[in-house]
Amino acid sequence: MRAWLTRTLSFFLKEIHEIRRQPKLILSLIAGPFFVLALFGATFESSRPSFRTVLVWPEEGVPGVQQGPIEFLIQRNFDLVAVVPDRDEAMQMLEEGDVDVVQVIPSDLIAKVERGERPEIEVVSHAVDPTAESWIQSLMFNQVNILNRLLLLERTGQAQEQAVTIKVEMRDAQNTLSELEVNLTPERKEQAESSIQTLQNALTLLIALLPPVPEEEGDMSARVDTLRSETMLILSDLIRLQEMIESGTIETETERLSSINERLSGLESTIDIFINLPPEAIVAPIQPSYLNVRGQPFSLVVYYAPGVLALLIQHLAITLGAMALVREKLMGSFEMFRIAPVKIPHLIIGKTFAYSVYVFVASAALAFLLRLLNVPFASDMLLFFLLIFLLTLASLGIGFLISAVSGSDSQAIQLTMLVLLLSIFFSGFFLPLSGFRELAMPVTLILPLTHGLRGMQELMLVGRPPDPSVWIGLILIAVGSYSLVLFLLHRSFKKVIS
Amino acid sequence: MVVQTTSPIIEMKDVNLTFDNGRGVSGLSFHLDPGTILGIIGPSGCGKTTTVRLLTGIYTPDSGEVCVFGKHPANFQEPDKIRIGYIPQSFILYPYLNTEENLHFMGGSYGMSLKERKARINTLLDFVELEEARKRLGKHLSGGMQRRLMLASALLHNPELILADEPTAGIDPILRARVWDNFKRLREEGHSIVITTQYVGEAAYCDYVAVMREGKLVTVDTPEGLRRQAMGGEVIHLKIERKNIFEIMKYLMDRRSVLKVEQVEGEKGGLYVYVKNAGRELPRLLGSIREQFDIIPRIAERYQPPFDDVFVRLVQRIEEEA
Repeated sequence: MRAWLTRTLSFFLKEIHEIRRQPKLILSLIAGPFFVLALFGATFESSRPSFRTVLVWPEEGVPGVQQGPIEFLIQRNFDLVAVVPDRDEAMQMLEEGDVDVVQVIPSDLIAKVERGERPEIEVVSHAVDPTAESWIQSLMFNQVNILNRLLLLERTGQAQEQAVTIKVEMRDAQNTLSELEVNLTPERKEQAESSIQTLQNALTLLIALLPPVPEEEGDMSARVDTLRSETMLILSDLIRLQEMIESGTIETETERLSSINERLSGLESTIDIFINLPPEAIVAPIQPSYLNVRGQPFSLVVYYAPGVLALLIQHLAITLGAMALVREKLMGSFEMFRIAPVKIPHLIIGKTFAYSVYVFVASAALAFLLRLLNVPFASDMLLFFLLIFLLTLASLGIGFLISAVSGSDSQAIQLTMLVLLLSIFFSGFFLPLSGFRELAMPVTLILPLTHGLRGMQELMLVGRPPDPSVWIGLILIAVGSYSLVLFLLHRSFKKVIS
Repeated sequence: MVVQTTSPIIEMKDVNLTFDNGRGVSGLSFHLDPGTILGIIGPSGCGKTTTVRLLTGIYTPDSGEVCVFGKHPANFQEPDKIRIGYIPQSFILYPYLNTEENLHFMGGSYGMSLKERKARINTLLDFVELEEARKRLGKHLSGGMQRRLMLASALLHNPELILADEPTAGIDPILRARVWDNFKRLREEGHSIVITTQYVGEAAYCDYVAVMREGKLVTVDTPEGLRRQAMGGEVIHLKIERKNIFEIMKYLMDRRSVLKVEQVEGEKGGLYVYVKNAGRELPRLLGSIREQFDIIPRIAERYQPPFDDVFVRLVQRIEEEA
């Protein structure tokens, strides 16, 4: 047992001495990720890309719309770099790469709206990046939504103003009708006809101005609908009344007269409600209410910090592991180990513990540096260190596996970079795992970073112990990879050197 | 202290091994007695390293028998392995470890305790004259120092048998002589040593020499025996007056004890006289020449042909016989 421990310890100390003699390696592995994250934090402004946009605004202008507000609206989502009157000129700019997006506002925009048509704002891009194209479409959707809402707000305001006028005219009409009920003289008949005509015109205009209400059920939209239907009923009553006056049968229709009068009173109260409603409540009656139960969300730098720490641990461990055995093989040490009373477990255990020490020191140093960027420490330090150890073990297993199958150090480096690339895409580091098809799941699950990242985020950001699947995932990767490494090395030890 | 045994440490009987590329070794048979140095000599690619690897168990023969300490090397257990010290052809110690750390690593891998290692490292650094380079990194050692460090690491656990694959390759003649001094001292301490070398002249330092060519063992003999085999006997060098040379050559060739007489190329009046026993024949020849021709040769000595010549002649003989 003493000899067994001595042999394992000799491999451990050998690795400790060899790595400590390469301080630049360790420094670059610790300081590198920290400075990348610090630079990211200091320079990153928004995850939304900026699109240089040219607006095509007709030389003759757009009746009913002012250029200034439209430019202001575009600036909210796009980087408006030029306004030109000619579409061809704008397309030329797009072709030459001076702009990313062209927006064309038609001169008959409002005229078409008034005709009940749906005018289009033409948007042209030359995006090759599908994400950029999605962004352009989404930003454009948002811009048109705002424009539609502004138009509706304006129309609602006009309807409310019209409703105030109608109220006065309704009172006149009501008075005239009340007098008609009592005493119908030719003068009054003439005055009544005039009042009814004025009211009819006003109500017709009100119906035309009333905004279309959203289909969603809601108090506000129901009231606008009620106003519209009540107004239409009154309009038909007024037409009937006009006919009765003209035919001279009004004296026999006093009951109908009082009924119209009552309806007018009802309409007045509905108009009162309509006038006092805020236009926003009519046009966009539903608004979101959002609450983050964790309080303030983290900044992007803080959010990515656990991922960077997990990635550093994985990359450092895989790199050390990948170079470890291939270097020994190339140097010819395996030949020596076969002749000496050395067994594969001495080699693997000694190296594992030595590398774990360095990975542990590197992660502790990086975690400390991350504190300078206000990244929270894990609430449970014991679990934090256990997670680092398991992530290191699983990553070393993958590294040793790379080493065992590589015939040269350049091959080992290539495979290490491949794992790094896979980790960035398939671990949830940048792209959410929910965005992948089931087919990608085996790849994500064999990456130590997938589990380490999740565990680190839960410990450092959420402040709760990692899900059991995190521990299980890392243990399975470690056990699987180490078993494969032992099998391959055993075979390689036995294999004849040819 | 090395334990002395009388039975051979190494025995190879008709060993054959062929690689996929058709190369390998065939018909190897030799043995090594305790406390002797066996030099395996031959040009690059003749099978020297393969032979050593067969002895370490890295290679398993296709046929024949390899026995080291009475066992097949492939079946070695820990107690067998610690009886062997191995110096591979290239420097395989670690460039970022210093001399002392490299030795500690090797000692540790043989299970030596820290105390044992410390004592042994002090002795060995003195032995290989690397005391001053104790703290120097492996990558900063010269080629000769690296060779000596490899030797020290192979000796650390005090093995009975040392297998050294071209330990003198690529180092200067003075350093080569020093390395051989170390091996001779080790032999005096009772170690048995197998050394491969491309330098034919190094055969002189060995107790036995195995000459290899194209995967085959040409011969195994003592250095003297090799000379005899190559030259067809022992050689006496004479330098005499030119005017008598042909008469004297004829006279010598007529003697029964003389096997062959040759003129020395590039030396006026120089003769090589081949006899069975130079020590016995030299005074007799001198007396006869003085009596017969009344002259005393200016040079009369036993000639030791350089091993380069011996090797060339041996190969020529083998080819002629083939």
